Amino acid sequence: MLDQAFEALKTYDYGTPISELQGIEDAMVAAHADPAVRQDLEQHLIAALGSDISRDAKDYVCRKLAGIGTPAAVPALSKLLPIEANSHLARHALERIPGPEALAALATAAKELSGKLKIGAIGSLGARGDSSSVATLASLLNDADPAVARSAAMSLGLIGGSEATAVLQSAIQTGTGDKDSLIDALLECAESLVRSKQTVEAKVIYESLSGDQQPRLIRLAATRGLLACGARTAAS
Amino acid sequence: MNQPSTKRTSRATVAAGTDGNRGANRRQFLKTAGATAFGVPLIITSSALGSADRPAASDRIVMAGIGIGNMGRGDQGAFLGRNDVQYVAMCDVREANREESKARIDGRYQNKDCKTYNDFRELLARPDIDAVHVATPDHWHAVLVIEACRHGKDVYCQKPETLTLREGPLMIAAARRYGRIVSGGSQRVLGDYRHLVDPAWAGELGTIRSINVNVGPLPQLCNLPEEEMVEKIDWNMWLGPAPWGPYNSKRCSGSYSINGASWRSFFDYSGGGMTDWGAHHFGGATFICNVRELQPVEVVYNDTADGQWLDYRYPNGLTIHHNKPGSGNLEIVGTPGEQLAPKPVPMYKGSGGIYGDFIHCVKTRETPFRDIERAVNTCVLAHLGNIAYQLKRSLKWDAAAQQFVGDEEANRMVDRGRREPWQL
Amino acid sequence: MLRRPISLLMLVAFCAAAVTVHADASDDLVDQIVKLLGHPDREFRAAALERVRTDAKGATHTLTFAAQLPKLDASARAALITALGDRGDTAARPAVLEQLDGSPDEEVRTAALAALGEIGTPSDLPRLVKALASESAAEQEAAGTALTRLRDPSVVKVLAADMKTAPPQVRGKLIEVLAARRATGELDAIIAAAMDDDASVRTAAMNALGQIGKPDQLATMLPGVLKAARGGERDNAERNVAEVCNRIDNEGQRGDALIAALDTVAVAQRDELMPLVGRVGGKRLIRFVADIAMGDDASRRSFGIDALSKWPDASPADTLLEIANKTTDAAERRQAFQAYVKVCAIRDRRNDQQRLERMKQAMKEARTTEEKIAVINRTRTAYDVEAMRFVRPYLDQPEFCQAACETIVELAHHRQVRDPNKAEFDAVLDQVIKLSTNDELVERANRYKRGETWERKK
Repeated sequence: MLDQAFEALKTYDYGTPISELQGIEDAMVAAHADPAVRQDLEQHLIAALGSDISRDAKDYVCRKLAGIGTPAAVPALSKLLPIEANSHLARHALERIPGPEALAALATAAKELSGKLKIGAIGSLGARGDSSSVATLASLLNDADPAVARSAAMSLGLIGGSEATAVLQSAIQTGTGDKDSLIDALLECAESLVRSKQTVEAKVIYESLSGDQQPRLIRLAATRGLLACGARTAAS
Repeated sequence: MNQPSTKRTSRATVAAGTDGNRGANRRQFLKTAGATAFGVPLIITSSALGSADRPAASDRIVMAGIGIGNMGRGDQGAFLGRNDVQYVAMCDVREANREESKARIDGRYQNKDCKTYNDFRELLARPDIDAVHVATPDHWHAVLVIEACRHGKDVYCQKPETLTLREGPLMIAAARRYGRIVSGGSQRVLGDYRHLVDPAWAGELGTIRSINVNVGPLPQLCNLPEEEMVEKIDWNMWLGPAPWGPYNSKRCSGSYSINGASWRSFFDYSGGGMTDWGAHHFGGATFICNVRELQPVEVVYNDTADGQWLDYRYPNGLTIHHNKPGSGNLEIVGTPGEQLAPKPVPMYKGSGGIYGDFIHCVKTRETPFRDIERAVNTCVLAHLGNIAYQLKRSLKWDAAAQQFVGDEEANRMVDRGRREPWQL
Repeated sequence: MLRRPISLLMLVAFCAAAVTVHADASDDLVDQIVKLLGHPDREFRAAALERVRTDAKGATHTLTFAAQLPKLDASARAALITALGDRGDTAARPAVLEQLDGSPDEEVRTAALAALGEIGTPSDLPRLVKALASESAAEQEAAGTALTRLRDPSVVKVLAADMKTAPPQVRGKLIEVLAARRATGELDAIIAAAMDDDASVRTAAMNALGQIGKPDQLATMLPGVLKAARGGERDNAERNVAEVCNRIDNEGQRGDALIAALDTVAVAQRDELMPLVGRVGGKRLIRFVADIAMGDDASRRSFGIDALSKWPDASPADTLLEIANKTTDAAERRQAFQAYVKVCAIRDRRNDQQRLERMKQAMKEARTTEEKIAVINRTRTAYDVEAMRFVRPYLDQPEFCQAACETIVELAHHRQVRDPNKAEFDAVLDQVIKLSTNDELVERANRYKRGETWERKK
């Protein structure tokens, strides 16, 4: 059944009945309880990714690797990151595969690619939320492409934590990068501090953003943040 | 969300206001309009000054719409019909929708003032707009709601408000961060199920042990073949954060089909019938049982001779069944003979149903009936269900951490990668 | 032995310190909130009001917030009153009452009335009932909402007593409140109010019965239907009693319950209740009504046919067709056939294809031009391109052309029917544009061809 499905995958393209791939769908479910099935399925998927199959078929394979892929799939997926047609769903898989290998592949792409694909990789680093990406993202805050700088700021906001906070504060002070995105990300970091009851640190951030020189919306956000700190402190 | 081509401008240009965003923006807008009139006296129309049943221009909520297809038209009509709203702009990636919408809006106000946009970023950058309604396909909702909040706009977002579990907390966070009013868009939760809500909240049913929701089907993967593009549509923008796919009229049709003839059927753009009607039915069930503020802790997958079905277990002991064989939609199992203390039923505020509720809350800054957090809690049921059915197993859900407990594969399905350059 | 007192002492000291810290932190938050309550920007005020609703618990802080009321402008004051209501601490009640009694601003009074629904006591009932007759519509509504929400076991009895003596305008509103509170213990009083001389009270009572009436009291509700003036009030009364019937899940039992209730009414008046039977529907009642509609008494037959025409689904279609085909009376044939076409076309649980099949069958049964036109007209309820294809040939027949034009335009109105078949609809709309004598239809046809919508006039 599985072999039959992978045979069908060779000619799978837009318009092909998806039922022809049912064997793969069944193996995806069976993989949960059976490591051997999972390993076999992953090997089949990795092999397919390296073969001459359609874009639609590669997309399909990436979706499946997103579900069950391991570091073993990272090299095959990484090769797709610079290819515009495949980059997105390869990232989709790499965002989900645990371990430093996938993270490193995304970091390399964030550093080496350009334009939209670079932004995609930066976004994936943010989605993974791993603080070890902070240094990579920090180096992109002053990228010549403002869209890249904004993306890096947003990803730092998603990662949060003290390291990302410090990077964002420093960038705001030095006027590096896109101010709106930096502030939004810093506010996001402050929220994560409030959630983890680090209200003293969060308060410092909010107070730095509550001055009259700030746009109204930022002052409003800072005021709301200060109230949240107050409520959190009073409740604890 | 990233914006490669258009810089956000609203925060930089909005001056410090004395009466919320609206007054400041409106005054600035009028001032600018006056200043650029080349010495021609600014004519204040009777419409601008208002009348007994129409507030003065400065007191109206300035609105715009994004995604004006089937549902968007209905929402737009509701907002256009309100005297306390001034509808000034719309955005859609279909040219025909832009033209039709402009004609309708201009016809309403007997002028030619409505501006149309293909790119929502240009619309959101306008400082004079207080609020937007969003009725795009679901894969755009999170990006648009979050970005609108970042621009200080209040948002009415059609249901289902989220496409993934991860999007919900980020949308809530953006709304709370900037103090925005964000209402979800299911008019049915209160409108259709009141006959069940009233006795339940009055305590007449006793402790509700379970309620059943019949809804479906699951979303399907779309691999429709490419068709000749006969309509004028910005295909790249229609796809947005969703994976690339070739143009096909069924892929992007806004019809209400959930069986393969519209985007509502397909995994990349929707949670299928589970979210499309689930946003209503699960919303009704959680309202009836007063668990709108909660998320379940477990979803039990049942595979029986009668078919597959689910039990959602709540921390308060309630079970919401999904498609339980032999059970009707919203069939309730209460505790006969038990009368609980009655509780007043939450209702819409203002006048004009869910739209009026939203506008009232935009004015007063109160919490709308389908506040984004409640909407997200509703959508969570549909997403958890879709994942459990796909994985064919029971799952434990940690609502505080927004993670599945001890199921790494399920956790991979909490979110999806977004197509570049879009991110949340 | 010594260790315990020392430990206790330490514990007490620790607790005291903790309470002090907690109190200080709470005080800080209250200070923050108070500073923002008077902020000139409503969104900053709203940030503080959110915290008034949920944080810094306790009567002391509630009183601190309430003490800010006199310092605020009307709009900010109203918002704070609302937030204090949502906070739910009755410590704010005196301050709210002070605003209700002393404020010249409608916005403030309205907020105060609404807040009493959350933090009021039974002693506020006279105030709230009085406000139901306020000159301000907003205050009336707020008072109604507050009366609905106020939680105290005594409220319902007091309101039910007031209902008997209040002026009609207030009586109606009190009935609405009792219904919203699901005061099922007061159903007898509400049923009595359904016989009131004042139409607004009767209508409020029937609406209330529709909401909370019990099926075992059906018989007592029927006089209310008969008392209702023919037209809108009667229709409303029928709808509400039908609602009560529909609370009986089993269709057969539902029919039996209504028939049993009808048996309590004089025969002469029973026929007047036939439309109600139609609204309830169901197989059991079809038999009941069909006996009348096909019986020997010609005057009663008309009531029966009328009842069948009001059925909520197409189930009486065959019965109506049988009556239409059997009768030798032209007027009865006309009434029965029109009713038959009406129920065939009703948008019930059948799909559009099933509906269209019924219309095709109806066309075969139609004998006259008038009957065929009725079928063409009603085919508009089958939202399917096949319905347009069915009607289209009638464009070529002068006696049916205008009806066909109208139905085609109505079908084209539905984007989900039109868009997937655009070329075909464009062609048939071109025919309509040429043939129709109705300017509005022509305009609509042109709009649909251009992909535009048309707003139906209300």
